[in-house]
Amino acid sequence: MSALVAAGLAALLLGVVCGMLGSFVVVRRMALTGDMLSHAVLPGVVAGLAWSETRNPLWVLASAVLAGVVGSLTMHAILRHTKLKPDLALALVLSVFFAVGIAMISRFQPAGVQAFLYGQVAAIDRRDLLLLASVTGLSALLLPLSFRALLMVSFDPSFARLLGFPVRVFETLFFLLLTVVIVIAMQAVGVVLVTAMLVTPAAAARFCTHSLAKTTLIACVIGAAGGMAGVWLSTLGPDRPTGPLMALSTTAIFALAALFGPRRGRIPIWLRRHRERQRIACEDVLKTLWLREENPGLGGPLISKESLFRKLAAAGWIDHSRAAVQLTQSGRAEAAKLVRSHRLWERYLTEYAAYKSDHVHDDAERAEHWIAAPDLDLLEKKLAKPPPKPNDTPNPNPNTPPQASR
Amino acid sequence: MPIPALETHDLAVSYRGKPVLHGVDIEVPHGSLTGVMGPNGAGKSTLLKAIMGVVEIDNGWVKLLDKPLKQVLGKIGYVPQRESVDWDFPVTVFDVALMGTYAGLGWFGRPGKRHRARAMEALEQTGMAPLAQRQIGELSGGQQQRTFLARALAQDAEIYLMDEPFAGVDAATERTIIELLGRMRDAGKTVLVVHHDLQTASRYFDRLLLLNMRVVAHGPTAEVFRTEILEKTFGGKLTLLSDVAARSKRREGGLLP
Repeated sequence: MSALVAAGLAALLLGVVCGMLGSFVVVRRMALTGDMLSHAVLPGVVAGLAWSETRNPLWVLASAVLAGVVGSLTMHAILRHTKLKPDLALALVLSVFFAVGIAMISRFQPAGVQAFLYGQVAAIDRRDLLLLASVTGLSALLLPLSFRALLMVSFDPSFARLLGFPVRVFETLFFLLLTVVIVIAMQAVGVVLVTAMLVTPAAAARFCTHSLAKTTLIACVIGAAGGMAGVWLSTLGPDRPTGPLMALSTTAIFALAALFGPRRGRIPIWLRRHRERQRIACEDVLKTLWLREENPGLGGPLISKESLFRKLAAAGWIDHSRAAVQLTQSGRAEAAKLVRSHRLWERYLTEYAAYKSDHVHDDAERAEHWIAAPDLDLLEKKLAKPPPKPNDTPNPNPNTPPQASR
Repeated sequence: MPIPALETHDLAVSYRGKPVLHGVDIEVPHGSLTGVMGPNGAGKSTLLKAIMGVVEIDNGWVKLLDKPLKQVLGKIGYVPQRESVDWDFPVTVFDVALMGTYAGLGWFGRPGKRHRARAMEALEQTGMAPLAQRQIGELSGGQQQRTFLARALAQDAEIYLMDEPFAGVDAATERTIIELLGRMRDAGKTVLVVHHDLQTASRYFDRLLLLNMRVVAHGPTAEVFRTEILEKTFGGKLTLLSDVAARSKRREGGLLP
């Protein structure tokens, strides 16, 4: 197996397993815990490397996970027995454990520790790859199988406990699996960039979907794509470190998702907003035309964008062919709905919500575009009783032109 | 006297290191709808959490259906306080309702057709079926409460604990909720509801539990809902009780100089 293929395979597997676990890390708001763990395992990594002369990955992994567990227990002890807040406890454990690790490196100078500090995909050998493949396989088997339980434990642990789920056991197992993945990912991208591999794909996926299952799937794909892109980029020239390029590629995908993600991406949000504004602008034109038909004295040129007229004409609501823009029959009905909605809302505000009459118009200008038809009928029934006030125009019937309703 | 659905004896609970509840003795009969009321900081939510085993108990015990909590898991349902839910979490309305059917599903279980049908039926009862595929953060306050109520219905528990289901909901939702609660009670369920509004309390509940760090009164609404009792409940916090308890706790713990 060539070095490049091995690196590509490692990046692929890492991307998948990090995306999978990272989704839960992100929705459970544990991103900083991941960062803490990647630093806290360092003393264990150094000890494992120093004591296992053959650099057996299982030994390194075991002692690293042990250090991670000690770090996490320390953090919980701090939280339980002092008044320190979680962020502070996290920072303390992270820095102290990392300091111990660095001191141990100076003392023992174990071979291969550079890979864990800075990341070195090329240093991943067959044994590491086998380990990585097993962990990825195991996660890919366990997570989908226990997905429903994991979802509930993550979303509402109190409820899960009430239903008899062993929440503690779940959380401990998840934590152990997370630590294992972090230790393996460290060899590829280094201490600091592990968090990027873990949370960036899932954070990107959140822009694309509102389902946890899909978040997890998309995060796997993004993680794998970002990882392999990093490996490929690093082959393009000398002195291109793989780890940072993996992290940067993943971040580039994140940026794309933040822009184009269908659920929360900036551009889809902007488009949806734009569409709503267009709708409101069109409705306002219809309403203005209707009011002019009702009261010819309003006069003056109708100022509006040509594009709006074209849109309204295409919908068959206005006749744009002659010099003066005119409502069609269906356009008139549409406009009448708006006017009815506006006037009912004004009356509702004055009669029921005790608004002053000079305050209601602006509110109704907004509300008229948003009241659903069944609510309007309810409103009309509610308002049917009291007699109209002196300056109140009767509500237009949406089915007949205004002239007929007079 | 028949065995109560829910019983606490001499219950004392602290929340974040501060003593909140003292010597709480309550017996809630089967098939009753109880409003839990009291001023802010009276320990209403803490009582529910202590019953659910979410917060540690300093003293006393809780029995549900005459057994400790661990033996009746799955038979206790709850509707959380709005603020304690992560509304950004990627789950849909249907997902939440489906969680109600997870009792007995185990680690690797998958909800089947039957479970899905039950969840959907619960959503229909709360009027949330048309919004089943919405993410929960996209709902109004009333719709969010209906969603969690649907989860409770789908669970078909014996005892329900609800933390302010009426908070921040529209009038229509409030009516829906109170109708559902009545139906649950008529079906023999025992329901405890933390409630804030004195105006509606006497209409909504058969029984009231008035709390102010200890039980001020508990019983049928007609007996409890009286001016002097309400004044006693809401007439200021029991500053001395909480101060002394907090001070003793801090002094004993060596936290005060």
